[in-house]
Amino acid sequence: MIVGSLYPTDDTKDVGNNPNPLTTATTDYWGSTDGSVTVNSPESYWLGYISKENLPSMYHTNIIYLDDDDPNDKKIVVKDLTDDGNFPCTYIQRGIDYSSELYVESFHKEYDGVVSDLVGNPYKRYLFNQNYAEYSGLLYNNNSYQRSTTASIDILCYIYDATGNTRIYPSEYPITGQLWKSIFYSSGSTYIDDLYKFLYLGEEYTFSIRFPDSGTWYTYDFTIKAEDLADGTGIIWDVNNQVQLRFFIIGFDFGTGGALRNGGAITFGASFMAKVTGHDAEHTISVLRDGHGGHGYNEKINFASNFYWGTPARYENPLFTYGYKEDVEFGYDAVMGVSQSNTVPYIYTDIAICFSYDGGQWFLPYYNLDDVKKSFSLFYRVCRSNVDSYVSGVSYATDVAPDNQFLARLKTGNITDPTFKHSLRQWQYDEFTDNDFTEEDVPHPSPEPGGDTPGDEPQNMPHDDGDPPELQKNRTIAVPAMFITQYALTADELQTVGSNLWTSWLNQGTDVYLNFFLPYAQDFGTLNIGAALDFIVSLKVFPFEFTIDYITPAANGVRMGTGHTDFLGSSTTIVKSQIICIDAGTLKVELPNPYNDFRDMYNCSALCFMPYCGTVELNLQEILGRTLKASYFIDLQSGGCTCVIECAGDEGDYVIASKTGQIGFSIPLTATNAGQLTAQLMSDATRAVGTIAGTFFSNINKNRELAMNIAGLNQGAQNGMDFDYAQTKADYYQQKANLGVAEGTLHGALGLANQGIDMLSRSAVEMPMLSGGGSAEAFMFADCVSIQIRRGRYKKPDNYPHSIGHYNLSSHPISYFKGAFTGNPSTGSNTNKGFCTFVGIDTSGLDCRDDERAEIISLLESGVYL
Amino acid sequence: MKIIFYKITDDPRTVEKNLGEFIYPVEATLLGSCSVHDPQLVLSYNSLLLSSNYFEIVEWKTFYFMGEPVLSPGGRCIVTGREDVLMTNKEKILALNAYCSRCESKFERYAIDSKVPSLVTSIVTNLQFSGHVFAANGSQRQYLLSVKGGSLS
Repeated sequence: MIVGSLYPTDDTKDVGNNPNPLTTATTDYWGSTDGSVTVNSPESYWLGYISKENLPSMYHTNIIYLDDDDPNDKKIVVKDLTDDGNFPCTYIQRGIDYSSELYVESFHKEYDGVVSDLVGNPYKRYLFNQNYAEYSGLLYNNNSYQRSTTASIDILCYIYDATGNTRIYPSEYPITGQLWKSIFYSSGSTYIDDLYKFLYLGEEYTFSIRFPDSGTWYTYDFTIKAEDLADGTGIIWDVNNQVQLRFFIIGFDFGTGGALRNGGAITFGASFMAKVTGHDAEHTISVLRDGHGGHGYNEKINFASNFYWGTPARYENPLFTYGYKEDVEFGYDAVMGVSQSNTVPYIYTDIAICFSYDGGQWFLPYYNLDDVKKSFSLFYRVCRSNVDSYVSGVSYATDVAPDNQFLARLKTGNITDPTFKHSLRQWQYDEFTDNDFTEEDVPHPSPEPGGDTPGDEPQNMPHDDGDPPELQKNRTIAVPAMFITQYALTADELQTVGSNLWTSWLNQGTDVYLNFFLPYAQDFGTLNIGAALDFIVSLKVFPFEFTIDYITPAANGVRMGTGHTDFLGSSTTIVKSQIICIDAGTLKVELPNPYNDFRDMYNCSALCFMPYCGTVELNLQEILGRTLKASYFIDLQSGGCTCVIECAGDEGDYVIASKTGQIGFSIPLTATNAGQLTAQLMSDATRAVGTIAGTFFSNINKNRELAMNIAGLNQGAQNGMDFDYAQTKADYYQQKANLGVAEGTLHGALGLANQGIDMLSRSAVEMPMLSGGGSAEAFMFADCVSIQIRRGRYKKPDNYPHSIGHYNLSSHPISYFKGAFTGNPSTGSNTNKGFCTFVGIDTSGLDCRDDERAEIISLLESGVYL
Repeated sequence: MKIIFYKITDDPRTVEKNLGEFIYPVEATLLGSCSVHDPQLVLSYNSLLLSSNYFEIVEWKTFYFMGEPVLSPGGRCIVTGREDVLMTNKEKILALNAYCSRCESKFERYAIDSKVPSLVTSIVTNLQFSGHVFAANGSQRQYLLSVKGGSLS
């Protein structure tokens, strides 16, 4: 029995010119799963019409199609098949109650039209002549884009009433009237491999991944949270704050003998959304990657071979329509219809998470940071229809290299443009709610581009050309060996060095002479403590850690002069290059265009804040949409630096701004420049230690001869020791004897010295702020380079364009500029006359009197309503 | 000649006026010598005249803004008109080619229009580079000690 035939049609809906049906249904279900009407691409049938051929009425009471002949009055039409067997349709489906408005709406949202037209251009479509859906922005990403930017995929969809003023469905969160239940979760950090433990047949669950509110706007703890309706806290699973969440994988296990029966389907809808407190949950995203066959099945789901059009899967998936009017809903990738004889052990599909969490950073660049309260969730539900028992599960993977381009299936065609600019997020849109450049106010497009209309680029306009000079970021200037050694020390190491400079020799025990005095004298030519200071060229503190690229191990600690004395006592690092370059990151400058006109770029400023250097004004028009790179070139010896901002251009990166500053700050080693208090304290400490040391060594010399007699000569004669050794021993005894004499005085000096060291340590932290090396402005306590963009927020007088208009700058017959009729057709009252002013009026063909001509020209120049 | 009176509400600068409420037709004669642009008509008084503000001389296919009517003895009324050149020549005007400098309905969005905006306030957007390389506290600071010699041993 032939039930009906499906005919192709073209965009003109000229259904009468396609006599050959694409396919013919021979069973009760259109596109039956018996294989007779398997199609390669379901989309190809979405534009078509059905001819009634022995249609069993039980299935074909109604048919639905999109009547879009009038672009201003597109509507979903539910038609009784018994009236007419041939009609244009966008899509047909049988066996469903088409009278359901919700169904129609979801149908409309998901399968209607070419949604790529929406990109950057909010538009509306009517549903049943009463309501319309408004779309804004779109939703696309690939991995590289995710990595460099975040929060880049959005889609907005609202259902309004016919007036466009009222949202029929509140865009609120959470879903009301839904069954929320906790779900299984695992504590693994890379992959949840324990599937099938939840989401049982016939029930609806919600899986939520939430980024809890945080006081810091750019970092978030990543959590998986089982929704808890009672107190809203749920169970939080922290995944190290560094997870690179890429996919959600939803699987269905039919088990042995299970099957997706003819006509049945597993359906799910998924939504990924971020909600910001105080704002509606608008910027919802859903992205689906091609499904994959999973364990045991080992066959990728391929629409060309496995998707059976007869299954109603595509049409049942809008499960969220009951509460989620903002969501992009889809699900067919996860659905596979099979005949009764087949089983599908597993079906997997990957839902790509569109936001990237590399490094745990999530940027919300367009927010007032004070308002940022964020939660981030993925929801999906699964239900079944005419399916044998199965369990399904969800997992997530941290695949870091998903190269697919994820695309929400809002349209039937392909979106090839990798990025969609000018899309607004809802909160951005809300920021400009008083914007009167909305579609309602400005329903007409810009003038048709003509041969000489503004905006056309001259044919010989020169383009960017030539290679910009490349910054040599990897160049190094080696520290001159044998002359200077630059030790890269931690705070603890510095503390140790400082301590050893002053005090360690007092605690060297019996080997003090060999371990300290002798090497010290060899290094510095004197035993005067403090002489080592003369060998310190500088001590600086830098607000960043030296990377391995610029340092090399120094196993012998910190040494000076001829290098006999180790003032650290442990290995440390030495700087290899005097000049280094540190990468301060990248930034893709993306801003919404709230007005979608010149005001988006009017009276704008972009101020780049470079920590330790200052500020530089950037040209916003030059950087908008471009990726910027920030680098710091630093002279470690002087502490000077230059921050360079590069812009990624078509021909390579080029420098757009630079500013010098001071990033390394000297720590005073003497009393001259550390402030009065520091100076006095340090001076006292130095003098005290020096005095004590002088007395000490004086005493050593006085008793030297005696010691030699006692220890050196006697023992040398007895044991054959050489003179030097005897002298050393003599020194040791004398030192030991004199230590006791000097002990009381030493302790007092040591206290002062320690105070000096404390001051030294404190100054290591505090002095950068006191030092004259950087101005107060230059020392900005920021940890990164940033750009502050100021743009105007404008408010036009109400009904402004009606009496003044905007620049048109085009030449056409005057009738071209007539305003659309938006008034009451019954009364003829037109509320949108279209105010225009003209210049350069060509009055050819105006056969009227001269006085009339002059008056007409005058009126046209001063302004008329068309 | 036949005169049709109307009551219009459109702005006088409207090219295609909605004639709106039709008042009544009447026969009238010219008052002496007068111009076609600013004619004076004599017609029988009718109170509906007082609610009219626009009329058409059907024979001339010309539309006029109606001036203040003057009542004269004998039940007559003198009406003065001023030609509405826009309405009278509307088809011809719409066919003219002209350069539109300003337009309510179709315009070039990105042409800077100083008449349009009034700055209400400034919106600040802060964007940060990805590299948070500088220490937020002392723990990440690095000290560089430069000494003479030192690395010889």
